[in-house]
Amino acid sequence: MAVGEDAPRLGDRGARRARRWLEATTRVAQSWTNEDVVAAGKLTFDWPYNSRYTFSFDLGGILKGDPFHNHHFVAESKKYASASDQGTHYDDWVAKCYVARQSTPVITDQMMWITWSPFRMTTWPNLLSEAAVEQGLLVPENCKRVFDTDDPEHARTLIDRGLLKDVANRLWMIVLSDKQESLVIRTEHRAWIAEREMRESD
Amino acid sequence: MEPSLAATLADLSGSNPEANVAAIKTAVANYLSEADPGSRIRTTEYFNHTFSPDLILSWGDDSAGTRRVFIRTDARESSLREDLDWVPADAPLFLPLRDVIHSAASSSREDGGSELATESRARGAMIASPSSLEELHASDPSARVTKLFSRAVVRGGRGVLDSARAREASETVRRGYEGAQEADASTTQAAVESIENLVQLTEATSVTRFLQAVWIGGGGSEIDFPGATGVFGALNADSLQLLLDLGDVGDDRFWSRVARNLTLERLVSLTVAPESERFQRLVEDSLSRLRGRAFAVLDETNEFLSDGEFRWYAREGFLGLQSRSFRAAFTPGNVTTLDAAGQRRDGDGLSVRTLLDRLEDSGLDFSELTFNATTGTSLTLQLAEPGNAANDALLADLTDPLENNSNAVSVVVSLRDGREIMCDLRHGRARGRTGAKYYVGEMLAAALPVLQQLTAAERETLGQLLDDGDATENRDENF
Repeated sequence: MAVGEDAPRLGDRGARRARRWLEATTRVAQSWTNEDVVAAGKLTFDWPYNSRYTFSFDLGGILKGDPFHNHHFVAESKKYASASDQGTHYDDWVAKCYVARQSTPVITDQMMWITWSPFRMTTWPNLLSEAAVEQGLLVPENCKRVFDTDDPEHARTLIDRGLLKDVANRLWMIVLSDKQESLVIRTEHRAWIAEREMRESD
Repeated sequence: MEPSLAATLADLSGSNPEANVAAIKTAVANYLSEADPGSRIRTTEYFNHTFSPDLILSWGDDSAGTRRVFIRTDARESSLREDLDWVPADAPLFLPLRDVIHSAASSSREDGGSELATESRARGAMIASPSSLEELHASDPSARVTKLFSRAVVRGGRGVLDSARAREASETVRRGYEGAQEADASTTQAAVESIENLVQLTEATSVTRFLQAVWIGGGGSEIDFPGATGVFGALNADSLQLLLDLGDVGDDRFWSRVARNLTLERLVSLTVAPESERFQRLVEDSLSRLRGRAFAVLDETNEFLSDGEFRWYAREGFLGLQSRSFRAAFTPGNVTTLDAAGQRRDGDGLSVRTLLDRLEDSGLDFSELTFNATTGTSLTLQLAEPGNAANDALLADLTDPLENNSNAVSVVVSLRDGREIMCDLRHGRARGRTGAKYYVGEMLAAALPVLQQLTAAERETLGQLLDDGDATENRDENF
């Protein structure tokens, strides 16, 4: 039995809380997090031009019920008390979404940013746009690891416009709050649904 | 052979979660099935879900029991502790896919326990690490007690179960089983404590009752059986059923001791097929002790039996005896309970000659005969003293004229001690004259040859049964 390795970090608890909230919607059938000891689903990806480093999403899984039935999702959770440096992380994240969608489209049907605090208030309405994804891709570090160039203008020419549009269409912005986490379907009702589903599947 | 859980986990695909999930759930289902082969396992569409189980175990009929199984990819103690609060199911079974990763806080506790262990135990939940359930039945997978224990843990286990704890408990129970066969108190007690510590009472009792049955069969007294909760007194029907279901337990002396504790009431609450050799011996050993109020002979044949072959069985409140040409059902209740035993005979009775021949052939004394004449008149002949039909000229003179115009419809057979058994010849039933209880052996001896035309082979088998069981000897000291 391993001892002393269970040291939860705030972000990790955020991932578990985000996962639980998603499950409470009754629209998630299967899910996993980046902290699991057994990785049922892939959450780690390679940067195209920096093989020494990989990146991961916090959680992933499979949705149920139309219009997302059997759609695979990946999600990033930000259990933040304020906007903090989320904008910077968001730029990286959209670049990661672009790379993951390009390399592994099967498990990136939906890509969710789940935060407890809004950020970039002035550009908030545009965060899910192609322009926002493009902005993230053109951050110098991302230019290098996604397109192997230091020149943003050169990188811009290398962007797959179809993919860019596709990625933007698959982005979600979910804002949670502590109290909201408890404003979900009641446990007993969830049990009723589960029983009904079991009976119907017999 | 299906890949093991460990092999499955070592062979997960990098990019196909659906295949991974399906493989993990199949491996977990197999893993559970090995630990509890008797339960049904239903797979849900969910995986690693906070609220909905991955698998649902059920056993017996639908109302008997279910347990929801939650697979966990996150084996950290703190995460599992959270899960305990969120899972809506009663007494869930968590299966983390790796050994529990303990937090620094719990590993430094002086009592060596953890909040996870305390809380899961309090809630009847079990957190079983991947190889723990294998350990329950790994040491001696064919041993009945091991299987019973493993089943009880899967269905009602509680607390945190790792491999070491499972191995230790399994070994303690195995030693207790061996000890109980010799009525050894300390090993039996240790086993009972181990079972009750690890398993909720509802499921623990199935194992402790079994140990009690083995203890009694091993010569231990009912009173001295070491303190299992709710397990006391004589062998009950559940223990007996267990012993019979696990038919390779004990030797002949063991079973003789079990037979000494039997009652017909307990026996008829069992379900035992006529194929059980152990049951044949058990009933035959008990014929002089089992007491009932009535039995019926039914016209139900079984062509798979040879002439003279009798098979005992128990079902639906009756002790049954099947032969090639008839079936008999014994009840500890009153004669009307026999209505549920099968299609009642509904004839005109026997010709007077046939009845007298049967009585004479069996050497039975009788005290009363009743005839129904074709005219509708009923006539009862009472003997001043019980007598037999052989060489009784007066009886012949009295009954000869009845031969062609009447049927014998009942006869009262006298036992040596003066008690009487009434045989209803039209309906194929026998019961005590007073509603008292009679030994199954003496009912068989006194009434079966009257109610049923036995073949020579059947007659011989009956004779052996009654001789072996000393069936007509009273054993009132046992009651």
